[in-house]
Amino acid sequence: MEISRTTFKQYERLHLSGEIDLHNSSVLRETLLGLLGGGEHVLVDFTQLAYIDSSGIAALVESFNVAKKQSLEFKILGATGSPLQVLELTRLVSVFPMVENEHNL
Amino acid sequence: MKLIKNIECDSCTSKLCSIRADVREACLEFGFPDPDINSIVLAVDEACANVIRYGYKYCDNGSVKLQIFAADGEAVFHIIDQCPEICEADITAKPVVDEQPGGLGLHIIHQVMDRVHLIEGDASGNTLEMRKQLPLKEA
Repeated sequence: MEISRTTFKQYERLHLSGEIDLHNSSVLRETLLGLLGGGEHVLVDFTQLAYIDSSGIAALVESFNVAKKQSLEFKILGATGSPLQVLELTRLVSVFPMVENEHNL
Repeated sequence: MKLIKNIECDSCTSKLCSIRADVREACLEFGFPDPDINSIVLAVDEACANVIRYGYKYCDNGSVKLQIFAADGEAVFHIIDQCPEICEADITAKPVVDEQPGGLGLHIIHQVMDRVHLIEGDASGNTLEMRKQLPLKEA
């Protein structure tokens, strides 16, 4: 898994690539909570993400709840393939604000 | 049952990636379509991750064995560990509550697989069996 950051509009955009599983999901969790702790709106970019398991999804859920409590925006961008299937299987596709592409932001 | 793959590795989270690759390869041999392969790989990964996380409590000197069989029109996955014995209640899917991060792995396993249960044996540890119907072959 690789994580990089850019700024896009009002968001801190987190570019995820590779595979997120129990081995590395804690890094995602710490990164997300760190951004939210700094009061940033977060855009999680799934465009280059090949795989995410339930531990990665749990990190997103926890972060989404923190964002809501702090009235910060938290969106997922460009989920397709296996990561989208995981969100559908867990019914979280209707919980997270999902954006198909950056033009819709 | 015909054994397709027999994999054994340490109970280390860094091994999950290669387990997924082996499951994907077996699923391709079985002829599952891509969306099914993605979900089966995920379900087996979740089961192995649960063994490492809850069974071995992240101790990486345990053993995780994955056996994949073809049997009576089904793909059969056995995940064998040497952890303290668990019961069916431990592998029952709990209702997923929106916006709660817990219980997602078991929910996924039960959503994807046709049958999930424990096999009783004489040996110590646990054997989780997951079954998925093979795709029908076109005439």
